[in-house]
Amino acid sequence: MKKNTHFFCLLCAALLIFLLASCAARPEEAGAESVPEETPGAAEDGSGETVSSPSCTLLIRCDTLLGKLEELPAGKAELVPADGLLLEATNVAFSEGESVFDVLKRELQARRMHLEFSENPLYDTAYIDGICNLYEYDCGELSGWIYRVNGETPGYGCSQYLLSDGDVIEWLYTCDLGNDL
Amino acid sequence: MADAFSGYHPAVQFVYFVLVIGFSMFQMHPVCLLISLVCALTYAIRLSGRRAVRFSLCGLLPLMLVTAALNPVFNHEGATILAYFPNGNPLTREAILYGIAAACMMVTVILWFSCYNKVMTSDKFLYLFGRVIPALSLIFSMTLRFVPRFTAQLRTVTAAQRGMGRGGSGSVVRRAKNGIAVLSAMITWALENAVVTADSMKSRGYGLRGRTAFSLYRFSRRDAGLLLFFVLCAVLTAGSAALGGLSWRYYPMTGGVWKAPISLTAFASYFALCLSPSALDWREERKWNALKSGM
Repeated sequence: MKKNTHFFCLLCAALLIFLLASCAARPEEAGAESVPEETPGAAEDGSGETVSSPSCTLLIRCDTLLGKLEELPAGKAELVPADGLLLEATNVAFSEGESVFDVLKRELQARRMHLEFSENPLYDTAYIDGICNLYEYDCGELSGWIYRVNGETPGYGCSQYLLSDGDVIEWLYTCDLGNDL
Repeated sequence: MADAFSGYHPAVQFVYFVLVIGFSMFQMHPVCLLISLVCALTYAIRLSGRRAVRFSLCGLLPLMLVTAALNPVFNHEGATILAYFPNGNPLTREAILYGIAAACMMVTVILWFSCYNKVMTSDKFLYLFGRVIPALSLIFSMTLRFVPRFTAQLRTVTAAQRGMGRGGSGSVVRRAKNGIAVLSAMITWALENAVVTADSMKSRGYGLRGRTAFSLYRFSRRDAGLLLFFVLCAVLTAGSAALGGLSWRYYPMTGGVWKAPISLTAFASYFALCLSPSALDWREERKWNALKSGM
């Protein structure tokens, strides 16, 4: 009798621990999302008073995948264009105060191209899960979408980066946390 | 003994349910899902009659609809964009189709398990595994029996409470208090029942070496034949699936490759496997009716 109750208590405790653990363990998100440490300083140089609306260049590229097509999940290889360019350099007009994310979302929606993102209220920024059905983790654990503005990778999320006139935005697919770009 | 399949050897029944539930869980080809769903529904209705119909309509159909609707809300993968959600993520045809398929699969597996509970009673399970893994098989059979017994006991306790004048009427607070009283009685009963069952099995020497148990099961040629048939169907299905006869993809574009002879073999063998308990029952019924009318 006593042994049985003891066993039962143990069972209950194990169940409780399991429940707590499964609640606590949340998948970590990797990639272009991080706590904004520096304030985005792009919109500071007061040149926004020009008559014509400011414009930037948008480019989406996944040529890192070209040599690794057989590593992709089944059916995804056909999604990669032969030159690796999902969206060739396009001149895009934007209004003052728009972020890299706003421009990407608007332009892809206008072209009916696929984009999935998740918004994280903790960091107050958006994370790009997939563009044109090419998703994070599709080419290994370190793969996903990364963005560059004027050739540099900002250290914060794409919806935190406010654009200024003439910026060149590149969305790049990386298979190694950006080290292969 | 409700149906013909219940009269077969427990090993045959267990192998059958392992195969059929296994295939239903891992085979996402739409035709296979449909075959399995229809057969599970047929067998469940054959076993429990009107109760199965009510359970499917009131319990499983809403569950299916909710599951199918939830997938496209949280999953935006897929090449065909139908519309956009207010926050800007796309609603895709592929996500909707996958949601429907996943809902079908879940409901099918629940239906097969309801059939399993009807056919594989706990004495059969203990007969099969009582020797090999005594403790685990006791816990397993107690767990599987828990929900039906719990609902039965709940009905008893509620009836008793109603008899004492604490029925389902009164203010919300009053009813909540009654409900908590019932819940507390139920939990006490469930815990005590588990301990008592364990003690009672122990005092009967369950799981000791050399201990025998009475059983009426004999593995006859009829059982061997049916088992062979199940294994043959399963091998054919799995083999043609391995050869690519059941290749189907939901993302990024829904579609599959149709290889006529291999796919047809897979569907036919899978259908034969899923339908056989109902078919056995039909055959038995027809034979019985023929004998009766000939008398």
